[in-house]
Amino acid sequence: MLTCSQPECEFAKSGVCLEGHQESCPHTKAVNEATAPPKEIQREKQGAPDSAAKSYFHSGEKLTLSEASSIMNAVPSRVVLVAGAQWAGKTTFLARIGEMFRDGAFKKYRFAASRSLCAFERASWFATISSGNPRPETLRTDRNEADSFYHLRVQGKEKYSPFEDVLISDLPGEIFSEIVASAEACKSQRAINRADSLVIFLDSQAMVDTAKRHAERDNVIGFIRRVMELRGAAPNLCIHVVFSRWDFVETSSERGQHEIFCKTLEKKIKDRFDEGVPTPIFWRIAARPNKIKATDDVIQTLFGSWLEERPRGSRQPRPLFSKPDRDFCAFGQL
Amino acid sequence: MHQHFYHWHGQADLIHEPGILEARWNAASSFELASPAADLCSLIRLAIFSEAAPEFNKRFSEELVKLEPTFPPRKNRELLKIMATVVLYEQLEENSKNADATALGIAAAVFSTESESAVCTDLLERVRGYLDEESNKVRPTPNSREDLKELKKILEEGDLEEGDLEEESEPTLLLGKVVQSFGESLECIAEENQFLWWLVGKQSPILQERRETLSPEQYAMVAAKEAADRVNILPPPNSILSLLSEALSQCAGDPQKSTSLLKQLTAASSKMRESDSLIATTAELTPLSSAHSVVLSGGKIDANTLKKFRLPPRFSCSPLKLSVQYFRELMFFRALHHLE
Repeated sequence: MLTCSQPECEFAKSGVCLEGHQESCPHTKAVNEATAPPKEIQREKQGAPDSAAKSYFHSGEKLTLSEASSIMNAVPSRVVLVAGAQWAGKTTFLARIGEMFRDGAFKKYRFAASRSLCAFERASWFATISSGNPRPETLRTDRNEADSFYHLRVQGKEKYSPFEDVLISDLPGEIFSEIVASAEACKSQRAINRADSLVIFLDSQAMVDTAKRHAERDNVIGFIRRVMELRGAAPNLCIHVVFSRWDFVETSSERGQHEIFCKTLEKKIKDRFDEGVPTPIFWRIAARPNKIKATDDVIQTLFGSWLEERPRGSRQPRPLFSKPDRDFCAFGQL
Repeated sequence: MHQHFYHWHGQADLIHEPGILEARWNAASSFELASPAADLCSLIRLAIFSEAAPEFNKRFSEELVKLEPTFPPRKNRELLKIMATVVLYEQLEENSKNADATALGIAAAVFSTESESAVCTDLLERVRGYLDEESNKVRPTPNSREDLKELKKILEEGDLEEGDLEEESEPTLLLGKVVQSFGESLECIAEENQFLWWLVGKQSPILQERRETLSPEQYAMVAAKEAADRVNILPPPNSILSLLSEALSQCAGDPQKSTSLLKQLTAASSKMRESDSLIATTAELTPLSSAHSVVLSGGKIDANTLKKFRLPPRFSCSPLKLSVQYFRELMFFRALHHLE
């Protein structure tokens, strides 16, 4: 059976060539009737819109700025920035979130989708038995991974709960210290500009070391200050300060003393950033501890708070009826 | 361009190409409303609730792509929301019928505070400012004395010749101005008088009953309707909250006590048996009117119906709050009718 490759030509149906060739038309080709698709399918294919024919596959790695933007273009998304010094446990914390969604361990949310499953898998890999690693570890986040995003689409377990998209940026530790040192470095990070929630990690291993803890504290305060300078009075930003690897404090022989230091630090941060932003919230987590139980419930609550926090507007309460021209306009002034 | 547009846009996009913001603002500003009432409702729906009819989204999207080719043609709902906010913001730049309808529509749509989002915070602030300013501006203190003085001076100087009273002459223009000013003042005073008699009379003209015999729940929506009937000029007076509060405080009961919406709707539906012809167009932008029309048609107000109108399940509020909201909705309907 002969058919024509030109879409307008009806040679196959009527036997009349579009270009008037009697024989040896360059566009005709033989089609085996047995292998040719049924006519209905052919028609469907011809009628199908272009978009249906195109299928895009995601790499599954962390999303680039433009990939994250394309999600934000389409659906309301919460942007979360996780920042802290190197080895503070940021990636482990994110890996733990991924693991809990994979196990179905989340109590309030169910996993709906993710475009960065491979990235979550990569973050968890060295903590799995299959990796052959003698003890659970997490791969360091490279500085090239700044302004890249893990993606999660989740849904509350309550009836009628909407889908919620979360884009999480894991700021590499080197860049964290650069931002503390330079306003320019801070300005260049898109995720800082847009974040709804800022999660700053304070490494508890440094908290129990009297030689290191002051530097750790100053870096965190310096980082928050930089962000505040960039965002101005940013009421849309929620700040979470996480004492990560809390097992170091809990298992320390001088636990009481370290806890007092952490409490004092909390107060200092609260007092320092009392104006302009909602009060920072403090958390104590141990995502993959050695001697104590993992604080999965706290991690789940922290994750939930990113979704439950609504962006707060910059509106200040102001009198509704300013300078009325007529008494009638201001009658009663309720 | 609004000074916060960078941040509005940043809510839905992490990448800002140089110059794109200006181009997008201008594209949204140039968008023309094909059918003012319906398009305005769709824009408000999009800006406040991130949802509009797919046909409108498609048309709006295509129009924006024509005006600003880098605008993504698909999967752009959040960007459309921002562009709708721009269109609405631009509508509020000058006093017009469109601006009145925009401001009153947005004020009606944000009844449930849950619907407020960061992107529309600036828009809501502008709406409040617009209603506040314009309401005062259209009800100025009568100031014809100066004009009259000048007119009298011209007339007293005598030497008026026939040509002096031609269309563009100074005395004619002045006379016209004075007459117009008197007319506007009379309209304002008539409105004030209407409200004063309404309050002093202590009686509901619609129900033909003394307010002291009615409960605030029974009277809340009726009071809003009575107040709306007395508004001569849009936007309505800022004092409406106080006026309604005063009228409801004449009832037997506390107008600030929270009561279930269903109870108040049922109480009102036996007294008011009409709903506006634009109810299908406004839908969830006028939640009370929509719920009221469901009750009138014998429908059931359950969690699903409330959800449809963007109200939380088991919604309750004070009769005063309900009355003010219903008044806003009625004013929105009137502004939309003015557009048609």
